Amino acid sequence: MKKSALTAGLRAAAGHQAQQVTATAAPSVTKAKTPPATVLIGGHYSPEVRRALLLVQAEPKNTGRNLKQLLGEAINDLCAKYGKPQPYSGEA
Amino acid sequence: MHVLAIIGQKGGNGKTTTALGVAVEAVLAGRSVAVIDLDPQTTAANWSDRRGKEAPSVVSCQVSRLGQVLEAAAKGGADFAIIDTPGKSTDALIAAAKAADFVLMPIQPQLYDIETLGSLKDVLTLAGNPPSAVLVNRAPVQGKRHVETQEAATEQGFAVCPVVIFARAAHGDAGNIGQSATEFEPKGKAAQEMSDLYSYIAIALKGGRHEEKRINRRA
Repeated sequence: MKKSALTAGLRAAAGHQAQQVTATAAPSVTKAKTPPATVLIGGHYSPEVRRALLLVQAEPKNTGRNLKQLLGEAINDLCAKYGKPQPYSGEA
Repeated sequence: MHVLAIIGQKGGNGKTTTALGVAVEAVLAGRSVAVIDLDPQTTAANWSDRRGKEAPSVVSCQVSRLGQVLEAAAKGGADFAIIDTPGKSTDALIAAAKAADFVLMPIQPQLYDIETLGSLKDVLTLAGNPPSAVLVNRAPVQGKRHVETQEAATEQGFAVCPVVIFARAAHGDAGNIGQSATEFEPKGKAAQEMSDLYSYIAIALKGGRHEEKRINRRA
C-alpha cells in the first residue's frame, strides 16, 4: 500500500525509517504545541548530600546516567511513594 | 489542528477501540485524521496494518517523539489528531494530556476502574488541567451500572460524557478485520453510539458546552 504524505511524515517524525514523500499537503490551521518549557527545581543542601549523589552516580549499577537524570529518577520514586503520577520521562 | 488524548490507568477499558472508532467517524465526516499510538503494544498500529486503507493515518511512536509527530501531523495537513495511550505509563498520560485540546478518559463501570479516577485527576493536574471528560465505556447493556458510574465520576468532580459506549460485539468483530463498528455494522447500535460520541467530542473541541447536546443517553 502506498503511504500518503501525511502517513509518511508521521512515520518520519516518529523515528521510523524514512520513506519517500512525493507530495506535501498544504498546511492548514496548525496549532502544533511548542516543545515543553523546563523549570528549575533546586535547593541548597550540605556538601555531604552532593557527595552522596556523586557516589550514587559512580555506582557500577549506574549505566551512564548523569546527575540530572538520577534526580529525575529520584523524583519519580518520591512520587511513587506518595501515590502520585511519576512525571519524569527521561527525555528532558 | 485539534488534538484529542484518550487516557486511562488500566488496560482493557477500551481506549484504543474508542480512539479508532472516533478516528473513523472523523474520517467519514471528511476530516484528515492522524492517530498517534503511544502504546508499546501498538494495538492501533496493528489495526491499521490489517485495515489496508490509508485513512486514518496511524503511527506508533515513543512518548519522547510526541511533539515532533504532532508537528508533522499539522504540517502534513491533518486537522484532527488522536493520541492513544498505554495504561500504567504516567509519563505518557501526562505528555498526551499536555498536548491535547480535550482529554477523554474511558472507564468501565466497575469499582476497579472508578478507583483510578483519583490518579487520573493527578495526571490532569500535572498536565495543567486541560478540558476533559470521563467516558463510561464497555458498559453492560443490562442494568444501570453506567448511570451509577457516571454519578460516581461526577461526585469526584469530573465532567462526564453523556454518551455511553456499551459492550457490543461489533467493536471486537470490526477490529479483527481493521474496521470500526461503524464500518462493520453501519446501522447497528455500536455505530450509533460511536457517532454520538464523535458529535460530543466535536462540540467539546470547539469549546462548546457539553450539555448543549445531550445525546443518546439511555433512560
